[in-house]
Amino acid sequence: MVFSSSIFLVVFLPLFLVIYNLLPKVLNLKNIFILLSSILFYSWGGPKFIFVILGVTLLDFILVGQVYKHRDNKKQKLVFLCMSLALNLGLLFYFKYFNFFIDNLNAVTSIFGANTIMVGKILLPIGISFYTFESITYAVDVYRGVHAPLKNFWEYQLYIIYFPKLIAGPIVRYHHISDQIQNHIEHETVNNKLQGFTQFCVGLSKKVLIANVMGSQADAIMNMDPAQLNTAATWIGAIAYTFQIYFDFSGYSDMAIGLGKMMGFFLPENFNNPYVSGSITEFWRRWHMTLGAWMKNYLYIPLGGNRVSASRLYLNLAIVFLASGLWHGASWNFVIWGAFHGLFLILDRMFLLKVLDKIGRVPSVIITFFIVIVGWVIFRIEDIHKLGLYLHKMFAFDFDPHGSIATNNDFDYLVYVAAFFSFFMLIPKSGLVHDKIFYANYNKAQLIGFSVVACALYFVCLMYVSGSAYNPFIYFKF
Amino acid sequence: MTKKKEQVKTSEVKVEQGGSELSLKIAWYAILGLLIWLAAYNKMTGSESDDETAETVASAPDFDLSNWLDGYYQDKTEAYLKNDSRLGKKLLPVKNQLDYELYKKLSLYAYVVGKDDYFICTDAVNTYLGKNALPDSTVNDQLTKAKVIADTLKAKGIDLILAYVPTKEYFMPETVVPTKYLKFPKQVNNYEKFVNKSKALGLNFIDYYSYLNSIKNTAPYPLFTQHGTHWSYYTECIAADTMLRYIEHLKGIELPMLSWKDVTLSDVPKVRDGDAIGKSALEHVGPERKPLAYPNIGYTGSPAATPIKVLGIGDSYYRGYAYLGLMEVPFDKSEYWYYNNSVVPETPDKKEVWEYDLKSQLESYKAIIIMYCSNNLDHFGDGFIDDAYQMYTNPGAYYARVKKERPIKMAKKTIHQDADMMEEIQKKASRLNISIDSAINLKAIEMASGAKG
Repeated sequence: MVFSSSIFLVVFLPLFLVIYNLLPKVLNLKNIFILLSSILFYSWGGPKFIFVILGVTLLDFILVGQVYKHRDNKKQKLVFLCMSLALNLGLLFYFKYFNFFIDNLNAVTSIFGANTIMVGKILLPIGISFYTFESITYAVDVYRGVHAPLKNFWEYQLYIIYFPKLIAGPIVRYHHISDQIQNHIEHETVNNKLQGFTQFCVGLSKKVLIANVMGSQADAIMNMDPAQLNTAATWIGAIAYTFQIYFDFSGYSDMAIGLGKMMGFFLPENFNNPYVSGSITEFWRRWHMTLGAWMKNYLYIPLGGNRVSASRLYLNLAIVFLASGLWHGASWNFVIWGAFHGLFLILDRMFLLKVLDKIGRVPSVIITFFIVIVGWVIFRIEDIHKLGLYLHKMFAFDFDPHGSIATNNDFDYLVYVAAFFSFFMLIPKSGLVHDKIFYANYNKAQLIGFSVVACALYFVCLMYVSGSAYNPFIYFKF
Repeated sequence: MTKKKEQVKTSEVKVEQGGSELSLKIAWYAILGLLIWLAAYNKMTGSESDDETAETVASAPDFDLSNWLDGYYQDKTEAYLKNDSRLGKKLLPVKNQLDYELYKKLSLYAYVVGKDDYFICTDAVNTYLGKNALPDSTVNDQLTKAKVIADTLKAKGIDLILAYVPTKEYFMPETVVPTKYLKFPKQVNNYEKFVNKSKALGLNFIDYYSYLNSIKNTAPYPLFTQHGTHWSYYTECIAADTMLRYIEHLKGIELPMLSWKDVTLSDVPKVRDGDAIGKSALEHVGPERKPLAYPNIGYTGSPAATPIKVLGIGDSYYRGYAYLGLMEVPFDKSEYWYYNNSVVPETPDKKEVWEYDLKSQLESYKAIIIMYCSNNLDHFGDGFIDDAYQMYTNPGAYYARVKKERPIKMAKKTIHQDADMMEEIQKKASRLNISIDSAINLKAIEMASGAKG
């Protein structure tokens, strides 16, 4: 089930919120209800995979319990940690990468005339990349002694399967949420509920009213044969996808955070105006921040971080970004995308940051945005041959009218709206407005006013969800 | 065990002290009330008199564990909520209206609002521009075969007439199509290819574009409407009259003629003139810029006027002839084969064209019209020309093929008419992640081979 679906907006969320709010303020009762609702939520989209996720979390819970039990014995706790990691990464490898691995193995062995290995298509359980990473944080945090494991399996299950962040994050690290599972009802204030509802509706609007329009335009262009497009058309497609992925994913994160807030949970923010970044290094501090934090804490730092020689640092960055690319999908274009970003991170460290710093904020944002757009094209087009043609067309300065396309009417308007919100923070004094909206103290009238607007947005989005066949969600498949 | 504190950014908005007061609680409970009303709305039963959708609302799918496990129940429920639920039906027109007002967007596939509130089909613009036009060899092949059929039929006293119809996007692109759709340089399009080749081969054909273009500046009433998907009713009458006169001239006979003494003018589109409004599920659109004309038609003729049997094969433009009574009166209760597939007027058993013996059918008529609009010329005749050509030039191969295809076509028809079977096929399509058409094909092949065995 995704948040921007009729079943969620018309049935699941209303019933969940009403029952949840009618329950007495007893932590266990509320947690059990959230857990059961989360199981229902997940099994709606993956009824068979729910058994996989329940089984694996049980095993993981036992293994991590052993890690904690043997906390004074370095060797033993390492063995149990490795078993837990093997379980989680093995699961991820099997479901997400096995077909990819076999395809590539076949490609290599076919060169030597060997027979190809035939395997059936393995279906990907929804959200597996997210909950695998979260399971790893649990095991590693307990191993590192950052936090004791949960005593109750069902609380651990709740951490893993908590529906607001289950399908597409934010990736919540165990120690960030462990206390909240125990005390979230203390934060279940009416203020938080209204703010949460408002944030949910803002996220829903970003997804339904903007991302879907951008996506429809991006699909119309990027699904075409690039040979039939001219340079202008390819750039329109790339820009449409650039806005789609931002409003889609950040919208989903807002919905997740808003839902959490309605239950007294505070999930971490995932985006911070990424398109106003002045470098790729800054971009990764603003884009999918919880993935960045995960990569930093569980991969980059264990590799040595930046307290190493320059060459080792570059290698670490390359490894992290290749892994990040592969995490997004089992396809070479994701690996290339990771390498592309990794390259700019390395160039930043070598000299680019200084150059971008010198040329001023706006030019550096333009250059960075340009790099990001090219990156999204790599991310979007899985067929490597087609990707090559598309990128070639983007830089071919081909303005043959035969390759022109007529943009959708709604795209013509909403691309400006998307650009305005994406680059709002570049406007002088915009930071004040931004902080006033997101971090200021609200009075009652403002809070009620926002709630009324949120209700209106909810209905408008529901209309669009009900009336449109086009409603993809990009990160759903990861 | 040390608890490591880490800075994690959250967007917790601070509310002034004392914020959680009664008014905020009321606001929150009002939101909950609204949400539960949404959930309950589909279950409510309003009185039919004040709720026009009450009678047409479908019921939600029934739960069943196996359907749940293979995801079919979920797909059906989501489809029900979107398309068939009481709420879904209420929301759809509002959303469509919003799209129309804000973005000039229509929910009707491939249609947008063009200049001066003309609803235009972008596919039709592309065919006008010659995008993806058929190769000359394909047009030559089809029309050369048509010529063979025409000559064969002529020997039996039957005339084959081809009719080419322009869409409004084709007829007046500069008036109705926004510039952004016309950036692609115009190339030779299917319409031009068909007309030129028909002329070269000496086929009997009517080029409605040329005719309508000749009266474009003198026609007293709009030839195309703003909100219709076809030409105007007025043009339909002119076109029908032209067709009747063409047949009279071709066969040297007199037919009962379509005539009208007066016309009713209307700002509100009638008959099919505003069909795109309904198809776009819109409640309100702007008025027509010019009044539309509705001739009050009848059939007249001298005592010598005699109806003849004329078979039509065509797209929805030919259906206009049916509305005007052509099939009934001057064509002597003739049939029309819609896309060479379903038979019009519909028979109780919903006869399809493949059920006929083609030869005896064709030879029971005095004239055969194949009429397609500019946007449908890429599938001109929908296989009729290939079938008739093969039947007359290589009957052995034709009848062997028909015999082979018949059981599958029969099975497909059975599937379409059996609601339970269709439900089963939808489920299979959802499970295998294939289109319903593919699932029907698979099932039909299975049924046909089973019947054979």
